[in-house]
Amino acid sequence: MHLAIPGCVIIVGEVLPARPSLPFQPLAGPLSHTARSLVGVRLEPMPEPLFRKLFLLFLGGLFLAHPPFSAAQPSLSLRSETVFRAMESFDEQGDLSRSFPAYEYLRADVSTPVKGLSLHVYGWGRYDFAGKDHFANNPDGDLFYGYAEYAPADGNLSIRGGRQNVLSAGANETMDGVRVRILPLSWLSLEAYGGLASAVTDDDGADGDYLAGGRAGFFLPHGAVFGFSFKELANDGDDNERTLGVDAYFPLFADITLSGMAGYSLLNGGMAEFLVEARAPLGPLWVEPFYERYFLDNLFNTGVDSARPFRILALTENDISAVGARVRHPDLFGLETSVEAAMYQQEAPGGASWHVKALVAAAAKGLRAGGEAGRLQGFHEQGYVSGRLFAYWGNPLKAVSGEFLDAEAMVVRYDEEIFGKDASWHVSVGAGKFFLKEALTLSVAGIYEHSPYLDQELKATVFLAADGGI
Amino acid sequence: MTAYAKSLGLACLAALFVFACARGLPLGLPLAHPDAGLGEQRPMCTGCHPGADAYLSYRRYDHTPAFAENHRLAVRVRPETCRMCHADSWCSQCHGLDQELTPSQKHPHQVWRRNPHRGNYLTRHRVEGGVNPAGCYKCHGNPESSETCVRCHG
Repeated sequence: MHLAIPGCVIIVGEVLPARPSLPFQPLAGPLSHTARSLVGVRLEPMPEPLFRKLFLLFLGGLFLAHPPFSAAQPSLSLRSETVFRAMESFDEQGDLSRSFPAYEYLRADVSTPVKGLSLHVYGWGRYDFAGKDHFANNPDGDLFYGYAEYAPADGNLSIRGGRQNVLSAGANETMDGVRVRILPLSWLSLEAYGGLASAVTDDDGADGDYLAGGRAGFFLPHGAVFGFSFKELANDGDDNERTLGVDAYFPLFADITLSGMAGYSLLNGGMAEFLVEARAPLGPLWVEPFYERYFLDNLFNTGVDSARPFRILALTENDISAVGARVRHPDLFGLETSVEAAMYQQEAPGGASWHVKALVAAAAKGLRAGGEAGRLQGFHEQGYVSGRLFAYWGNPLKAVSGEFLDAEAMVVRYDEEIFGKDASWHVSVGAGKFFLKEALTLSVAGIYEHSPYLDQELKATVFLAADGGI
Repeated sequence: MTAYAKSLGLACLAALFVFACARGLPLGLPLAHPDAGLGEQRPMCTGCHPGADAYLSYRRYDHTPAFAENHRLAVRVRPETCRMCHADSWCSQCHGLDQELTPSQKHPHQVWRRNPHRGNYLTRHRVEGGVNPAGCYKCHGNPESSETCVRCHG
């Protein structure tokens, strides 16, 4: 069945070639290619009369509530971010390396004359003026997303087609495909997505590749949420991931809340991850205890679509548990303070490690300043102590508005030497100014780094952002 | 499952779909936050809203100092909450495929943001990666986003 609205194509059931009898044809290009690759949601063909009935029913519903050709004021919103960087580094042998990359990030949001239909594009590109092979292993740019969305103002329906990020339920993927989210009832949310995952290897082209999944969410009184999700990812015909998920959020009593999620690998037949956390007021404090557990053989992908460290770790059948708490005081003598402590347990290294970090920050009259300190005790006697100070000062010159100054210093001292060094430094100072009611931002920063990997590194960054539209 | 049962299931879904379209009344959260000028400050939802109402538990979305590091559950249970204030490009700063610059490299002046990779992270990852590799996998688990890993780890 092909369902179509301007700018978007939904295919449900058996994936068929375009049929001239349908009122709309699939779009040419990547979207229709994606749609034809939806072998993962291959279902039995439905009887032809039922297809037509459902199709007409769907269109009728859309027309009833949201006449698709009702006029809307078109608009275009653009944001350009240009980053010039100059980097000069010396390695241990004293060899000098220089690069001068320029990055352009461009985002466009277009509201079309068709009410509820919009187009969204965001991508980046890089050019290295040094012309060397510093970035030889990296792509010179990419499209983060580029999709058409139909979303009426009532917020009950959203249909997206094209390259998009799927960040919900068990998914954190970039996909070329279609995603539909509907709220048929005030207590029910349904989401389904399908297409090609952009991150899988393309050794065999798009044959046998697909990403499919969805989530059913139930909204209960007092903001409670309960959801079930499913996600399946395949590359070159091999199943990489097939996961069932459960997520929940429950306000209990006296401002105490409980939330969590769990993922179960259907491929391996075992639990992949489990997280639960609570939030509770304790006098002026907010306390957030948490517990996490990861089963690496079920969580990590062991196929070619996984970086080597994860493939090796998956074979260890190790599992990791983390238990800890965050404690926050929102206003301790005018300071926001936060302390987090966590203990990690692993079977393979045969021991425990822990991490404690604390933050103190203040904000008043354009000044934001603070400091962080932490101690990580890792495995095999590895560990470090870290400290960071930062300050941002808006409008230091009262006579001129919009300018700002910033500074940051971070030092890390390691328990054991790494490449003969036991510390790393990072210092940055910067200044900038907002123009035209913050539609234009210009900032410059100078950065010095000293670390075991690169002996010394000097960086300069010029950042220019511009917002506009018609 | 027979073709008939599948057809019936799809018919029920289509009926729910049509019902949702035909209502025309908002059933969930608005598409955009009515106050568009939240600026660069970390917003605390409970500064204006109660802890929770019939629609949402606002306290879960308070941008506390640790929010950047533990917003995973909040996004999973109700991602449309984030989209009221943030365009997708906000998420792409960290989660975007082939993202070369970390947020702190791209916006060095935003020193108050607690990004996980602040400062010289390359050295720290030797220790942190061993303690909890699952934390790395969430973002670097696929070939595109692990290009930085492959250079050294193969």
